[in-house]
Amino acid sequence: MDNKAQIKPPVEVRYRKELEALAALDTGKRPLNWKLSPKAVRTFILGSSKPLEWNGEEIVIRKKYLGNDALVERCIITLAGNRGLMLVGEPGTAKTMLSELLSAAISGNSTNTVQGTAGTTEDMIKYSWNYALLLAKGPVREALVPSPLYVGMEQGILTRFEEITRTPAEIQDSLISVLSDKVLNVPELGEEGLLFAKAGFNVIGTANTRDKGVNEMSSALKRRFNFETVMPVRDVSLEKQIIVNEVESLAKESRIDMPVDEDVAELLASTYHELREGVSSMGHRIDRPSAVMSTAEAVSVYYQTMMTAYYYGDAGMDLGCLVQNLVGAVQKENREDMEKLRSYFQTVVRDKGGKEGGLWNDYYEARKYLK
Amino acid sequence: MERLLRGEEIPEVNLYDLDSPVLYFPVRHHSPACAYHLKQAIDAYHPDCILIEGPQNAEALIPVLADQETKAPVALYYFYKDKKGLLSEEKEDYKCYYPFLDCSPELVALREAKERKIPAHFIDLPYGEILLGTARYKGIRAEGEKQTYNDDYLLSRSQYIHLLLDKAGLRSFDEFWEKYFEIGGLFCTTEEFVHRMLVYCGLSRKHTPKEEMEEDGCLLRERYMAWQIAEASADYKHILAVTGGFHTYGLTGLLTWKEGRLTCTGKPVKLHKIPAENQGVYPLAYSMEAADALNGYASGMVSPGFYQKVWEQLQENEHPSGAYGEAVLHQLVSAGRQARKQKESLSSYDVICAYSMAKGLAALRGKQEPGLYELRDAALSSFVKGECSPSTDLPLRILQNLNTGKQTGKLCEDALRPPLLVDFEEQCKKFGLKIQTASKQEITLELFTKQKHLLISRFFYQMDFLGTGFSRRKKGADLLNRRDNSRVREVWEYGYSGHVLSALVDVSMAGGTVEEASRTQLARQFTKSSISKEAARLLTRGFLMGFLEEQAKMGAHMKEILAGDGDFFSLTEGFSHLRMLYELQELYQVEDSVELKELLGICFQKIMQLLPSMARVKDEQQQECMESCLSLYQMTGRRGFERYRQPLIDAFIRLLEQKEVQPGLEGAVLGLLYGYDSQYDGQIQTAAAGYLQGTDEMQMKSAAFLRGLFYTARDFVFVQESFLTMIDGLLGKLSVEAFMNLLPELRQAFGYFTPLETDRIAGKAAAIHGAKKQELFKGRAISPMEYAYGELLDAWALKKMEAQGRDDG
Repeated sequence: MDNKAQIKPPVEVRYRKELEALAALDTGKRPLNWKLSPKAVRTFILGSSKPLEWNGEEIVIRKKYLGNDALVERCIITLAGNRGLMLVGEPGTAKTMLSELLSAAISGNSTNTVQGTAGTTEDMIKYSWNYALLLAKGPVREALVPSPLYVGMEQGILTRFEEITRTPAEIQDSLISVLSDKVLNVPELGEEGLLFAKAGFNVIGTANTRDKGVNEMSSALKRRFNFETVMPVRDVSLEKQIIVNEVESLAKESRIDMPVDEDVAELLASTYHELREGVSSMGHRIDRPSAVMSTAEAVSVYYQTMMTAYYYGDAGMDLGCLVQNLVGAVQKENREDMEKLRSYFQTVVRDKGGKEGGLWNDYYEARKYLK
Repeated sequence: MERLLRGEEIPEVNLYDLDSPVLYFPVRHHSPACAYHLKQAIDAYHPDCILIEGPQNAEALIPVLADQETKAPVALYYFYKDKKGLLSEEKEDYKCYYPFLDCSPELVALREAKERKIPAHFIDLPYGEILLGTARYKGIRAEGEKQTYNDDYLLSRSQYIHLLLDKAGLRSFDEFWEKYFEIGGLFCTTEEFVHRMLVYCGLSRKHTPKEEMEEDGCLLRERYMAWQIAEASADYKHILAVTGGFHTYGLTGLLTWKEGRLTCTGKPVKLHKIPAENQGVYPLAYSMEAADALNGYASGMVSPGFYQKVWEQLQENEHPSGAYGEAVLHQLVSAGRQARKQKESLSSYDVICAYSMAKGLAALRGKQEPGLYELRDAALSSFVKGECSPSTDLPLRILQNLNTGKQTGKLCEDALRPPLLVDFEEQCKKFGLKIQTASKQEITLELFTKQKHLLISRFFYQMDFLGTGFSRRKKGADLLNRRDNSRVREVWEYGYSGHVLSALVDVSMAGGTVEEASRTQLARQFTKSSISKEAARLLTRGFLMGFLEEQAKMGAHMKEILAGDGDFFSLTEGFSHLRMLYELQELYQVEDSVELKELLGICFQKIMQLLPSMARVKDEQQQECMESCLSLYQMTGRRGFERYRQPLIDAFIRLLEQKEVQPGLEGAVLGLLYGYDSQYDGQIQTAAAGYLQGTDEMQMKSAAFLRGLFYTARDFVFVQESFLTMIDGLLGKLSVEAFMNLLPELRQAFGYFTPLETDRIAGKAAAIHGAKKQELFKGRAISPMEYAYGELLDAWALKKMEAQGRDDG
């Protein structure tokens, strides 16, 4: 695969070298069909303090998931066990990224994915048929089009189920028998129709808490999963680090040769943090906007501003443009959010500009774009 | 990490020599692993004397702690009264707890000594001396609500801990400790364990600045302890010294072997002469809940209930391995069972998954067995269904409670008890109050007919004032809030609980009897109070508690407070309290011991000075200000207070003369002036018209004005017929939009009227427009056709419902 041409290569391609080095140097016990031992999976996701020496190269394993280390450990152990793993949390809390990292490290494949939508049907979860072959040869394995779940069971790899709560409840429930009995019945194939899951198979689901109540999971299905609640990053410096890391890798992929301005990243991280928490670092009480103020959104605001600067500007971050992008990100669901953002500028940004000056002052000046 | 703990950086750490005349055993308080190895060490060393780090003035209580009847958790409660002001000018009282659990190495040592019939001694400085040797805000004198003697901050706070945690990928010092010492420690020999402890404590010490140890009083204590060990070495040949690991190096550095006994190279510590009544110690039955570090007690122990289970496992089994796994399983099973009882859908399979998660995590984290952190993680992962939130985390809360533990301790029969507790029990007995039962009791007191009832009421108020939660008044005069002052009966609810006990112990240094403790606390709070409101409330509380002679002493201070208080609201509330006390004197048949009359005069004078400046009171304080004015006005109408009426009216007039007056207050004051003299009606009408005809902003204020006016003079509307006509006319001139904007405030203004009054006003308003009151309620008549249709609809619905009922059986 020529990953140069891809917008976003899958995790296992992006970190191929790291995964190979970890596999080669892995001495830990591996659960059946796992590419790496749980310890090596942990190292892959949470990074290692020393670079690995492999094939004459020093390979740095960078920390890829910034946040709760214990949560990652629990996820790994869950996947080695009998239950599926369900990641729940606010949008933009890196649930999908974590599930991709886990799948790539454990199964070497992060693309075996069902994308849950309101239109997801049972055959998208289990299997469907190639009707030309079905008519020509009858119900044979060759004519069966396997779903990601089917593939996971057949090959003993992880299946990711994104946005599971977007899927109607009765469709979600088709997972119950697969998760408890680890067997999928294809009645059309007769006696050969029983597919027993191979070791290494498991399901990682993600669900958005903002969708709660859209299609609440049945308690029978809930019992088949271990739940992990992924919280938004609570630490401004960590959030800044995530913005810097993510934007760097996005820029690298898009061949944008421009360094990330850490001060601007910090400014943006503070803005997002304060609007989400409802209190500023100086103690102002702030009205929280109803729009999702996730770190992922902050990354995209920064990245858009960066692209504008790179292609149209003088390769320096323009705070006016940043504010315009911020408006785009905040003003989504509710008109009042704009007012809240405006009053955030009128109080917090103004006072910080007065106290710290510099960038915060420029930021305050850019409030004219809050329209 | 393992290499680090093998002590390659710290030379000469081999202190575990069973042939040595002194064996130093380093411990961390409440550590089951330390307790386990200490027991092994005692078995191997056969000491003839055990010396334990603990304030020496509790020496006499060692038999109580080691008694078979005494059940942990128990604690020693130390107090020190700084009567001479040696610690600070404030001459404050100090107290601290020294808790013991079954798994506390110190308690294990005391019990072992008793069993082996060998002496055991506490060798640390007495509590008061520790305080005197510690700099302010440091060590045991750090600011905090609950102080414990055996705080482990020296082990957990040193700078290099952060680096260690980072390197080991652990979340907290407690997790680090559990991994390498509590769990890891059970998989090594006692010698290895002691070695590991010494390395760690040596490193901690190395990274703690000497000045800090000096300020904390740590070095002074070590010198004292070293002297105690040296002295004991003259009489005993096999001394076991059980001290916090941090001190071991300090002690060995101070002691040298000379001429067949130990000598201390440090200067002897000279003790202060502290009178016995200023320093003391009592044993207490403690609870796991109180011992949990999570509850604000810095005892250095999280989840004592969990470690108690581990300790029990260690006692039951021959080998220490497996103790943690068993304890984790036990907690998971218990949590699952309790959750099921509370209708949580947790199955046995969930418990199985959780246990396997705990074991898996332990393996991933390189621990021999799962511990507290794996237990919590396992429950979080396997027991919480859905997003972790207050609606789904009940199993976690159950587990947390189990980990804290429910056990409460018990002291042996002949244990010494604080005199305050004894007095409390005697008082209860004297008054016939039932404290043997856990259920709440109710009692009705006839205050003015039975002297005993008045005394009981005072006792209840004292217990309430001490914050014990023992008694609660359900009915009766509420003098503090100045409600129902005339009630002659009080209904109280009271009940004895563990909380009452601990609260009494907490204040026990304030006095030997409930009355004395309350007096001391009252005097203390009164001295601290700086505003009239607070001080007057305290006077009232003193009055309720029956401390009448105390009040005389308070009078002088009260005058100072009144003179210095510049807050109008505080002064008016203070005034109300003082007035109430003045009036109640007759009812309660007490003499005016505080010169209330004089205080009232001073207070009133202050209020009159401030009143005119309240003209521009903030909107949010408008109501409070109106209430104050009304209450002052009402007060000056009472018998004995008439002389204050005229100065008040003058002050009101001065207030209205201010350039800008808050409209609500203006209305209220005008209303009061109208009550005093009906000639003010013209001024009211002019002001109201002025607001209603004013510019937009002023128009908006008209409702506030009316609100104020109606608050103090509702009858104005009925007496002055023309007023209503004027209001009606002016409202009629407003644009629809302006009227709609004003409406919410207007509704509030008219909200002061009773329904009957509203009805009357509506009638009058209707009359202005040539309609009758009754007509307001008249609507269009229902036509017979409509009526018939309605009946038809009813019948149809009834039939349908009946049919439905039949179908459903």
